[in-house]
Amino acid sequence: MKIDKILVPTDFSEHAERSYEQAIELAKLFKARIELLHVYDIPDFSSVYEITFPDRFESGIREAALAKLESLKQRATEEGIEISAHIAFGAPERVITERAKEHDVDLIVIGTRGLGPVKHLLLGSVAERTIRHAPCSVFVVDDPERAA
Amino acid sequence: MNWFSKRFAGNIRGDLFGGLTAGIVALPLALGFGVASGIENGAAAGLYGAIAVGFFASLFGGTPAQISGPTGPMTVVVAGIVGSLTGDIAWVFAMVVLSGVLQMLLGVLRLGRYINYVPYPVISGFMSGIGAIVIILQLAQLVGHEPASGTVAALRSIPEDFQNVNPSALVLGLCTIAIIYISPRFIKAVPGTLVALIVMTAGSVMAGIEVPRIGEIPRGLPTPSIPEWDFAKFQLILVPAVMLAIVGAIDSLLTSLVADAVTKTRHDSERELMGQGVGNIFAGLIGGLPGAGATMRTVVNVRSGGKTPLSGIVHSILLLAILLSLGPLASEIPMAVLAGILITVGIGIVDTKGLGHVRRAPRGDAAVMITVFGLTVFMDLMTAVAVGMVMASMVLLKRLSDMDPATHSPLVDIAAHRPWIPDLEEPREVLAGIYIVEVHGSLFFGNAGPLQRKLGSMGHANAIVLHMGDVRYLDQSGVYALADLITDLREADTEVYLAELHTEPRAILDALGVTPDVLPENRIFEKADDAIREATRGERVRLDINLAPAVAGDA
Repeated sequence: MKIDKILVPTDFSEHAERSYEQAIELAKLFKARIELLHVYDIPDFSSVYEITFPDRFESGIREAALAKLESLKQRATEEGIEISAHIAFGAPERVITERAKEHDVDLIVIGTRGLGPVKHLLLGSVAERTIRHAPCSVFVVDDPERAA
Repeated sequence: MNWFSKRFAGNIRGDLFGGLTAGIVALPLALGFGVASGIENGAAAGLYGAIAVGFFASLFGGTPAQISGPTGPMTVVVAGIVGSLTGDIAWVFAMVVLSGVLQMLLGVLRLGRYINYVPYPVISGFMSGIGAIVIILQLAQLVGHEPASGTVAALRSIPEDFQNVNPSALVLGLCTIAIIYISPRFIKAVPGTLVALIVMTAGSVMAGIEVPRIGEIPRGLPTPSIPEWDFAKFQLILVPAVMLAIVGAIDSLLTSLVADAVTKTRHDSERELMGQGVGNIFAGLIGGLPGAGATMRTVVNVRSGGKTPLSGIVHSILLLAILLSLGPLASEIPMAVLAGILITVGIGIVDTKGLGHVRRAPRGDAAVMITVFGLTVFMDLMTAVAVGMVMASMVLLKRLSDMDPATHSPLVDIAAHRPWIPDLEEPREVLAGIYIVEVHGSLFFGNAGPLQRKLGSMGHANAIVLHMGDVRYLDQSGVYALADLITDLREADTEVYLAELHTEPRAILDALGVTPDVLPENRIFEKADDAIREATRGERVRLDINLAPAVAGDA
């Protein structure tokens, strides 16, 4: 089995961090590269503001995300994994699968849930849709908090 | 057929969702702006405008994912002219058509790129002014009164209006505003404005409250009408038409920049102007409000998957369908509800970030911003922008002449980028992908654009060291441009280092928060050599990995 590129979406939640750590282990195993992806969305897409300036729209989201990705990257680099980090805009479930397709990703590593508020769901919506539409294999990292 | 399918059929599902979502967001805005324009049957005019401009700007324009329609700035200009042309509504629409023609002219003459040269404080000032005007004009309707025409008149009528408050109207208006801010937390699928519109309208109808409402909305599209030639009237609309054309151009091209940011593509400015021009011509012909590129609708479109002009077309078709079927329902909408919606829009247009920086920004820039703001609100846009440009140029000249003439160069000249081969004992490969770019001259509003374009195409580099030794002067535009550039490059996984920054540029970067927020301390070096050394450190790690032996058992 040949896995060269692993896509790891992260929303910076605790669960995403766990998935990322698993991804690092997998990358070591397969000698693969990691592509770390953070998808940011409009804070609330139904907002009414007619924002004028490009930087005003991003207003700190991208900068904050970049900073967090920087520190995450360190962890992989320390373990000797080649890693690149990216930010993209849009609905996460859509962007993740699109990106996997465009970048010929071999494996997506994702957690069962991220920042979603509904705790009792087995599978979060982003994870579920990723599995359904992914162009490649998906490795779903379990959530140890979930009652057995 | 191939060109056609590439431009419109490459992303059908995404564009369908994007266009529908954008249409839903556009509906309350079209109605609100329409009414705010002061045109009789304004709500319908707003819808016609959204349909026409949205359709043709997408069909012919240069920003694929952009959604166009009535916007705050355009509506404010129209409202200004409607006041002085009452009774001759046909001439208002003739003005809209004329502005469309002028926009096409701007596109043909390739003048779109000069929008880059309008300094940030001028744009900030006039946008904030527009936001303020939108709010002021709606205050009367919030309390149930007829709106005055003109900002000053509106301000003057405030004390009197607020003494004779129509309580139901005020309650409706305030509840609308509350719903708009609160609803997104609970309802993700429907825009807050639409929720407020539906809930408050339904509520007011069921409770049988007496409030001014929109009134009759004609079913179907009106037929084109051209007024009889009258030279005096033509002269009257000429200047506002020019204003409308320029404001629309600025608004659209700014939105195109946002579209570029979220789609990671580059728009075609001249083509965009042509598209907007065609859209406005058609809007004027069918009695619709003029429009421009709309930021939030565009962002919502992209977020939901929109990529090609098909999304804009879908958005217009949706609005047309709503106009044809739900017209009668819309006539029940209370004016106070629309006022509430517009007040929140006005608040959003105000450039709070720029205003927040006023105290920390260079004094010249701040003065320009405040002057343009004041003139926009109390006089008119043309005067405000003209005075603003003159002031900004004078401020620039003064700064340039204050500097040591021996060391400054009047025009920016970006040295060709080349891989740096220093006196280090490293093998050549380690330095591949690291570029050093020397910036000569100053970064101000005039030349920020070219720098962005040049460096924007260098995302493939692993690291870029910006040698700033020759940059004596950075103004607010330059700082924001640099910040955007750095963020874009880092997103493309290209490390950015700044070297040899002089004290004054460094100080302004600090003052506006670019350092350390956008570029941390450890990326700034006094000596270019140190920066390169730091850049190569990262490089070396990556190359070591590539040299690792393949896994045994690889197919």
